Amino acid sequence: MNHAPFIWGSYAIATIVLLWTAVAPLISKKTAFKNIRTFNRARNQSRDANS
Amino acid sequence: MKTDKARKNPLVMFIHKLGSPPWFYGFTGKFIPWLWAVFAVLTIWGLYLGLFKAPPDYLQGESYRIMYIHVPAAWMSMMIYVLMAIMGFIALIWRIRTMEIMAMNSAPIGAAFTLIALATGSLWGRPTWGTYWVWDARLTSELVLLFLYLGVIGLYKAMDEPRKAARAASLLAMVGLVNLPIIHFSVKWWNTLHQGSSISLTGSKIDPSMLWPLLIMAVAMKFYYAANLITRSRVTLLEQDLRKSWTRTVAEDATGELKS
Amino acid sequence: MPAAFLALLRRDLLLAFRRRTELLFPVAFLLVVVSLFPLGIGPGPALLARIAPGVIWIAALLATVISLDGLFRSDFEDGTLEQFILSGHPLTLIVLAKIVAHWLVAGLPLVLLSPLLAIWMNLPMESLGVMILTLLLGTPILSLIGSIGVGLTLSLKRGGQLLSLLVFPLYVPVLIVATAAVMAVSDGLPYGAFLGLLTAGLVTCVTLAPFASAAALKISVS
Repeated sequence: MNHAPFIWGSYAIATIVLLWTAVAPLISKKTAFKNIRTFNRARNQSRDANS
Repeated sequence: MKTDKARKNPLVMFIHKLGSPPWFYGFTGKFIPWLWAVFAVLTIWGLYLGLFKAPPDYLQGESYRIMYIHVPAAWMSMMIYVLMAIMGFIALIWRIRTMEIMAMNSAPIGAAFTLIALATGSLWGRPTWGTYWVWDARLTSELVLLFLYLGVIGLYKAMDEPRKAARAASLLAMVGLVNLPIIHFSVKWWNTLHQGSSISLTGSKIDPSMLWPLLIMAVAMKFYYAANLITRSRVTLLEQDLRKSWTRTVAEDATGELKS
Repeated sequence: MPAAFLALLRRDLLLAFRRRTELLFPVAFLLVVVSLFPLGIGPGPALLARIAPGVIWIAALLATVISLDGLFRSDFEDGTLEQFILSGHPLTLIVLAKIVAHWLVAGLPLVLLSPLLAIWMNLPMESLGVMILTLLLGTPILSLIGSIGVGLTLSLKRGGQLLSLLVFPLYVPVLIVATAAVMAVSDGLPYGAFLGLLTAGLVTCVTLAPFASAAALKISVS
């Protein structure tokens, strides 16, 4: 039996999982910044409207 | 006065400051690039030694090289669980929010390593023993560990209030930690009961040329965990403190806009 | 303190017996689940005999998890649980009283039904004694560990589904040891050590689990 696909497959799975685990929070961070900006923009607008 | 002395003690001050979200965010952020750099260097070095310099195994041929990712992943899956439970314990007793956040963010990382250990173990089993899944002690324990992780993650996500959810999930992690050795031993023992002989994935004693890459990869994974954990924890702080002014400052600094 | 324990035990048993039909649900579930195995696998007596200890024990696990939800639910919903926490009586004793009541109502019937299940699954008759003993020692462990899971998931809408995921990994050692004991009898091997482990597990859980459950309840109610 050729062992190569199993070795490659193992490292491929590990790479994909580790890559995804590392990248997912970066995507969340972008979304978080967007939400923070939106929230503060809205708050500034309401402050300017009410002042 | 005692309190004055405590206030001036640098270690106490440091731990106290780590409890403040904006300080935690700023301080830990500096480490992230370095942690990733060390991880990258160690991984490249370890994989080079393991995949190219180390000779094929006498019994298993080339397939043993899966060990260089399977074993560190399995070690990490267990180490992270222990750390998660310890951080959860600290968070539960002292109600430190940054501890709660780090404990909860450890769970998905630990689950990822457990998944890798299971998948690579299965792929290692096929050429070695002929089947994709073998109910051997280690794989079965890893499967139960995955369920424990999913339980912690599930419980944390199921509650609306994050601090209460973190406390509940931390208690669950602690109960799981107490059970972990019991589960381990009972599964190991169950395996010997039903299979007669114990099967070792690495066969006989391990040669130094094969051991060194393994240890290097193991250390590399620890840096991965640290970098990823800090990244995730900082993002959680941003998400939870949406309405606070410090996140606004951070967002402004990061994007250079919305200054008013 | 023993007075409060007994009073609470009596109260829970009274409440359970007021809804006698609900007592039969775990029993019915157990019977249905076990009878599904021959239906799904085939009635070959030798095969059934081999898997009998595992099947009966797994059915016991499932029946326990299903019945656990009622442990704290009604007290949580009408505020009694909060009163218990505020009452000044040690919450661990309160929890222990409720678990004992729960086991008498949901666990003991499993033990009493086991001869019937043994006949259905063609369990060798010489193993029956040990089977009953493992259930007698093991089902309280299941209730005790399960109470921790129930305490943690109490405030969730679909806590019952998550509960299974939470407690099944913790049940694994009990399952392994109990079935090993029963299989040892039919293999002619000594089974005393397994029973000893179950007893040790029971003692440990009786002393430690109520503390964890009480802590879980305090978190859920907060």
